[in-house]
Amino acid sequence: MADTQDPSSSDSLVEVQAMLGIAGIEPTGADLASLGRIFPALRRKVDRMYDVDTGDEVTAAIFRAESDS
Amino acid sequence: MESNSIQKTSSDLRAGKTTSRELVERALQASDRLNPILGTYLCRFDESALAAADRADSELRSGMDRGPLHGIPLGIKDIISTDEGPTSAQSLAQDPSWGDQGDGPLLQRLRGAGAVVMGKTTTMEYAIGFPDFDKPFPVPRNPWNADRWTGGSSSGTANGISSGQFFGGLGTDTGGSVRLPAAYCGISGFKQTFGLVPKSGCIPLGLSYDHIGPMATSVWDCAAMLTVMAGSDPTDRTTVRRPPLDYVATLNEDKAVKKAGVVTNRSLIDASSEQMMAVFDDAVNDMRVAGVEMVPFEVPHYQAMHDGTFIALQAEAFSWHRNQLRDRWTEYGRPTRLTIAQGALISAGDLVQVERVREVARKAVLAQMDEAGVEVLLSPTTGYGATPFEGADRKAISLAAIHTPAWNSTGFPALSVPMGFDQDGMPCGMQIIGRPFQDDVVLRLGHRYQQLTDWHTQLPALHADSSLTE
Repeated sequence: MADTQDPSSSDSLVEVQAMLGIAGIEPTGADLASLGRIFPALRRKVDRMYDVDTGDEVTAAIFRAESDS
Repeated sequence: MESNSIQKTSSDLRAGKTTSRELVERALQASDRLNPILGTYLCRFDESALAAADRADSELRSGMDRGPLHGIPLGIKDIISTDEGPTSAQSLAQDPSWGDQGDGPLLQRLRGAGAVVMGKTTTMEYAIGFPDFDKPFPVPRNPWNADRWTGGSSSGTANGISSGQFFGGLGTDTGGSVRLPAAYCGISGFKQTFGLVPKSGCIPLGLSYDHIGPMATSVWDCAAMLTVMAGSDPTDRTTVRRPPLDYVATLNEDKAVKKAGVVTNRSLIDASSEQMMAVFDDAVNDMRVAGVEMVPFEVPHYQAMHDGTFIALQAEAFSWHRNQLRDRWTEYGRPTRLTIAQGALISAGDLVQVERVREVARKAVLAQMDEAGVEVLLSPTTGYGATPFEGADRKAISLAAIHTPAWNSTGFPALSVPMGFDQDGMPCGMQIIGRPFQDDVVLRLGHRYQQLTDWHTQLPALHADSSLTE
């Protein structure tokens, strides 16, 4: 699992805390700081996903209109 | 590792040279000696294993033959539920009652084929954490050098097979967790095509990236297990209905792979040691001498598939863990909770984009394989041999695992077979990747390679049959 960490900025700490808060997660201070350092690299990876020309491609998610279970 | 081969042992059982009870008793004795060193088991099912062995012997005596797994001891990774005992996922956060559901379809199939379940094997917490010396769980160690890791996360299944404590077993693979420990421990491990084998009864990690795969000393043994494991099941809607196939019978079909693509992506080569690439080059040359034409193959969108696997995996894992993370944050190991919590930092739109990239990449790889006329792709399974515990660097561990996750993104079949040893005497694995549902093609090439080489028969220092462990 890639775990590239950047120096955390107060911005990323605030963003991470807000997103975790929405999910009801309250990490310890040290964990929040770690996630704050990880967050910029994670965002860069996510942003690179938008560099791929996906055109009108649909997702690979599995959905079946009729359940067989 | 002939002594630990399902193929040979199933033949010995039928020839009356041994019994399932003898196999199980020997396996338990080996574990008494090796498990305290290697950290293979989270729990053992001695009584039920002996009872199952007696039933298997009785059936064979009466002429009922359930096939190659009949009477064969197997280890089961402890994120998979079984009738005998709890499922811990090697986590203090896991509710033990989750395992009350008992056998899922795979366990039912394996038992129906006469296999003997020996116990639940060690993993990384929820199949994603890291070895943790501070938690009250065994730390799995490598039979080739106990100061080194087994790789993860199907750690105990791999080291148990490698050390002769059982003959085969189940691992799970979301980013490489069957193939990596197979490579590090010098055994064979197969992540079959996504949808070929049901995953019900297994704690999910990445719901659309998870696979439960067979692990054993040889490709023949993996094929015997897959023959039993494959097939759709109504409890797992990701499984696909396909005609049943006897993967053992297809191993010797006269349909040799004629052309293979050798993965040349710079990022993968740069993340691999010179020694690993030299061993891989030798393996490729062995294949070439055996008549397989080799062509260079640059995998399109590799980095996007690799990164997308982890982004989506974290989001999918977060979906499963969120409520538990809220209540039991500190009961998770720190690496585990930090990894899964990143799923909360990804938006719904981001996840949709990852899945769209996944489709684009999957189609591009297939199109390029068509254009190049290759049936399979080859790469090292890992960039380096097994990592030492002392001074282990998480970044190095991540880089060493760069060769596997993309194939969870595509869902293509990917096999790891032993291909030699590095400068420290640690096993190296070669990865054979095929087209979707051409699992038989991948296994056939792996089997052919094992007929040409004897890497899969080498015994580690810590083995049931080694005097070093007496």
